[in-house]
Amino acid sequence: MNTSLQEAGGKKPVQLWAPELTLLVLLTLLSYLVIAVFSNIPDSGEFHGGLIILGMFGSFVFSVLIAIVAVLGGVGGGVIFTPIILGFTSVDTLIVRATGLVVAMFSGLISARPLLRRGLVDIKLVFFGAVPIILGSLSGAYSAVHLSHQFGETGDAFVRLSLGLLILGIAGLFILSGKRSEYPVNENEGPLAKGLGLSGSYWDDSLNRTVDYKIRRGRYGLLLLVLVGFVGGFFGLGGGWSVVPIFNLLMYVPLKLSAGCSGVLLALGNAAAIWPYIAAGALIPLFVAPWMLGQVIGGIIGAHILSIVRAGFVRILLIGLLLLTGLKLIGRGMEGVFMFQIPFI
Amino acid sequence: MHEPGQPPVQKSPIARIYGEVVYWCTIIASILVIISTTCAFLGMPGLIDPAYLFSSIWTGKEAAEIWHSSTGQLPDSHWYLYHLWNADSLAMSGIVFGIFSVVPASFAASVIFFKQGQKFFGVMGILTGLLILLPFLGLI
Repeated sequence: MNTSLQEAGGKKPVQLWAPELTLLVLLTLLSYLVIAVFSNIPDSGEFHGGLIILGMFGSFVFSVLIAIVAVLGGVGGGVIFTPIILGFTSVDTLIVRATGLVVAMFSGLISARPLLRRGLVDIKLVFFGAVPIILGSLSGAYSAVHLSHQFGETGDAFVRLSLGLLILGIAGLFILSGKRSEYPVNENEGPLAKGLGLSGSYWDDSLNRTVDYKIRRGRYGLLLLVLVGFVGGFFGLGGGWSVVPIFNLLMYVPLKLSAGCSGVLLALGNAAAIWPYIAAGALIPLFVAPWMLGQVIGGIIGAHILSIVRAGFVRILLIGLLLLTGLKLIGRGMEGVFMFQIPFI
Repeated sequence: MHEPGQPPVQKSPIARIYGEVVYWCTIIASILVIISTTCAFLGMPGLIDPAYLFSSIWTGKEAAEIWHSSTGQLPDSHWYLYHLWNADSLAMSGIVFGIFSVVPASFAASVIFFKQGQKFFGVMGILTGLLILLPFLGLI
């Protein structure tokens, strides 16, 4: 397994696959094999010991699939994980959201180096957006923990309902994302971008040349990043789904660079947002472990097959998934808020 | 856009150091989590019994209830440091190590920003690290 890309300038190949990644994949598979063969987990309540191990392995496999779809769809894993688990299982909302932040974060962490090596992340743009997204994420996470303690099950129902509406909105954003411009043309650099030297250039493999970009509307971008951080921290989604449109559509950053910066940026936001959840005991390590490992390995596989999968198919899959989970969440949220049962949901 | 054949974009040392720190910390974190998960299921002592943990979570018990049933109290943010040699603590250490990786990476990036005379981004790097460090230390 050896994927190489042309480094900036097309002179030297950049290795995307490394021995340590092979080791990581093998260690994970070996670990689950050893657990399956040698562990003697007792039955607990209605759960058979074997079912618990199967559930853990299933979580890992599902997380790998989420990560692959997320990488191919250009979003963080949290935006798929959190709504699906909140919509289709009984897992406590605070645990789901804490796990969702880890899910979104680790795919961003593991993909940072290959993206940076390929020159697909503008590190100045990342640190430009980091402080507002962290402030928003922290506020969102503290609000989530506070509201959960205040409102209990009714609060959970409101979370499901509002997340369902948000997810439908995100699906709408994806449907309309045909408007995204791969190489937005902007001749007028904004005063903030000019003052900070934010505009720049990157090497584009598909064009085999460097692409210059000029940034504008930086102030509005900063404000929106606070909002995105809040929503991501509150719902445990991460913010990849909205950072890309902010950078690309509002600030005229090329699409590939927006996607690369988004992954690195949301890992920073989530690294802060996770602490209120940890302080509330919502991050339970053995539950998080298979989801986290799935993201790391799925993220690697996703980056590996990125160039051979049809993006259009993944986009349709992602939209279908978001619409389905959005409707399910709205249904479950309404059941909790208005105290009635919707048949077949 | 530049024409083909022009000099390539220079790779930023800031991006390189940030990427390397985060990448290797994530690999180490993942290995710690793999080892601790395996140990937990092979009988290494832990704070929460894995069978009880998974059945409780999938049946919708709240986090606080799970902790209270197993340890009698809700843990603080750094509970894993008090009992480092058990499966839960090892797994949590791995996850926290991965999360924390962005702090030294941000500080290292800011040092290079300052060396390059880019003071604004140097300050942003320090602020980024501090804003993640403060909730980590329980100060905000």
